[in-house]
Amino acid sequence: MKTFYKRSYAFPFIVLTPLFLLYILFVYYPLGYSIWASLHLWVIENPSESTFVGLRHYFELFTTDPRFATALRNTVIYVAVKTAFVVPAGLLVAALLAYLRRGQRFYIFSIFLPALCTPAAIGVLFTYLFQTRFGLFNYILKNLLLPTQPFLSSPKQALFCVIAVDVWAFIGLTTLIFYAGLLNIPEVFVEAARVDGAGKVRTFFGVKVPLLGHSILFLTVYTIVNAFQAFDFIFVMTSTGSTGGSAGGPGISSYVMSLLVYNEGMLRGQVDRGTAVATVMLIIVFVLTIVQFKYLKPKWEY
Amino acid sequence: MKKRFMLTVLAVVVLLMCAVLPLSAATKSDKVVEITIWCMAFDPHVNGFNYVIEEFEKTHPNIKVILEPQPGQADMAAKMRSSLSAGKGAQAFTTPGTTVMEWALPGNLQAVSPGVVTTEQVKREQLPENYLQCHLNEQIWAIGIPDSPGDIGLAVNVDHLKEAGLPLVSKFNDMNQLLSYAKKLAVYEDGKLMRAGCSFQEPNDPMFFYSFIVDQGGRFWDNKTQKFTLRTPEAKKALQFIYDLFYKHQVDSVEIPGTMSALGQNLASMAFIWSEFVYFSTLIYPDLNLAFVMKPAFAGNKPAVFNHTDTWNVVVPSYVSGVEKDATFEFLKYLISEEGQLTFLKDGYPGLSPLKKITLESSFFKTGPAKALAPVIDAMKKGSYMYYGPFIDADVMLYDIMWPNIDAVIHKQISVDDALAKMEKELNERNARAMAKYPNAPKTIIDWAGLKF
Repeated sequence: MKTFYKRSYAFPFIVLTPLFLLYILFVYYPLGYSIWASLHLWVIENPSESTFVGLRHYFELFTTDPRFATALRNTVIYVAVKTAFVVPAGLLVAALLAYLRRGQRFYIFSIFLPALCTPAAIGVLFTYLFQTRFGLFNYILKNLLLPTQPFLSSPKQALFCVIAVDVWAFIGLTTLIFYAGLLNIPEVFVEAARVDGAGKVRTFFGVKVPLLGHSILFLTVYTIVNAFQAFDFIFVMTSTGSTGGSAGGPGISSYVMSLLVYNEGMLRGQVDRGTAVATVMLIIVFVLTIVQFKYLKPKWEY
Repeated sequence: MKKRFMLTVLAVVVLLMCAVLPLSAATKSDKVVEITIWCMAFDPHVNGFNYVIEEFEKTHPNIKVILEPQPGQADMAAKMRSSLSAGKGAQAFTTPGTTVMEWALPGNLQAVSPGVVTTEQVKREQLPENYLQCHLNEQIWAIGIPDSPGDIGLAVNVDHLKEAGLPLVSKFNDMNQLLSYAKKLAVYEDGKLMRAGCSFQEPNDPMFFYSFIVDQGGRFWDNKTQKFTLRTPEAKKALQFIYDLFYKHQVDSVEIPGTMSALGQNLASMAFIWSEFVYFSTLIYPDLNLAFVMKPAFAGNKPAVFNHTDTWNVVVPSYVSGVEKDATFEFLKYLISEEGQLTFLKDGYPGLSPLKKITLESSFFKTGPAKALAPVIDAMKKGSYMYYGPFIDADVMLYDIMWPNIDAVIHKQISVDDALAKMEKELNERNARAMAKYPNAPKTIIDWAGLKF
């Protein structure tokens, strides 16, 4: 019995050790290495020639780099707007679908379809739709006698156009997860509420939404993390499609942090600066996730 | 009996070995060495290299050259940087001249002198920028491939010219002529520009901005203090002109796509763009009828100033050694020979050859396929040819500082004065940072009198 206990006690460790080693090799070591690189004037082609500069890159990011300030502000806007739209809207659409008596599968498929498409393809498609002179959206606005818009060619609108496309593509996922959650709520709770005289709306907000706490927490955390990593739509839709790999325009108006990491770290070989931005992103996401787990923790379980 | 049998077997084995040894030696000497070259997936480069490889392999049957085109200039640079730091990858890369110094300084490249060319040979036989940007410690670190300066002129749509009844000229005499063409070519509908008369929305366009400054006798770099100086009347005039193209002359609009897309989609009739685009367009937009026109001087009637800092080169990483290095050098020797350069240009690709003999004397640029560049070569001989560099981090300066700020001006996000101040500050910060990173980098001394050859 003792041997069995020992064996069963050791078993999880034995199984988890290779996985943990892989994590060390492919996650924690590169993470540590990138933080180390961010503390140097890093010579990517020959790291042994790098000079230690401490927190200089972090200091420069927050004091002198105009692109970082813009990227940070835009990322916060991106995260806030995307999360504020996709989580409540996904819940609402899922609730409507749950009340449907016919055609649920068709609607779910239709709403989920954009989530299956490649972001690059969606981005290219919407770039044409947003095209100022010949795009579909301005054609519609013109026919409705509304003023046409500059969309992606406006520093004020470009970021929001990209967010709108991302929301459109992402909402299928949140809808699907909420819909699955709604179907899994035991009927007994709904029955009990009905017996107590609660109407459909009250049952939804008073019973179903609290019982979807885990889904809400998961999707909020996932959407925030996902929005922080926003890259593909920005890269495709704001790229000039020309030499040099410039994106994030007009000017630097739609720069986000992940684009800055890519631009500095990958395109231009400024690994030190790129990793410094990535580290700042990591800290923000880490803190946000802890806060969310603390404050959005579901009070009800079943 | 057994002993005799054993002796017989031994004798057979020895005889066999004797027979096999020369055979294996012969195989070894006949062994084909494979080398790989990464080049940008830019059709003119790919075609040029394929012609050169084909000819080279005819005379070098023991060397096989594999060309691997890589998508996108920026992505290719990222891949090459990874390869250099990993010490593994292709035996040679093509790369813009702006990266040569950055890679040579930490020792990631190996000198191609004297193995491929001697330093003296480069000084004597090649256009000056091929020495200026590729030498370090009196050694040469890259060899050039045919390429033209990025700011020598404009692409014009010949069909649009015909529609507007405008003759195709080989060069614009002055800015007024250019603007009058642009205004006649621009198409408006309900007061909105539907087709740009002259597009200025290519991230490489800051090269024109630099030359506009120099054309006026101004300077954007101080050789003494090693700092950028953009808060000058000349820089202000140059940037104001770019702004005016959009809002005063209204020959371009930020609501029209970027230059390359605009030209390709028939949304621009003329554009400030690198000259090879005209040739490139024949491959990707066969219906498009573009021609090259040399730009006018920004001020005055003298020939316009232009620069060739953004050359295309081939470099050899330091990890290449042994027979592969020998084979790579052998290929590069052929590539930089007169025959190799002319083979690269076989298709009519209008890239100036690094070899003076070809660019300045060959009929290819006088009456042949690249005759549109004849006025450019004329201007080069008259001292209009400049070299703005070398700057480490030149790509960051061009694409991440200069272009976004100019783009912000044409989108009315910031004023001309603010943009100049911002650019100057950011460029100097980047440059100081690069110099701190590479303390052995040579000083940047720009010869404002123009390149002599």
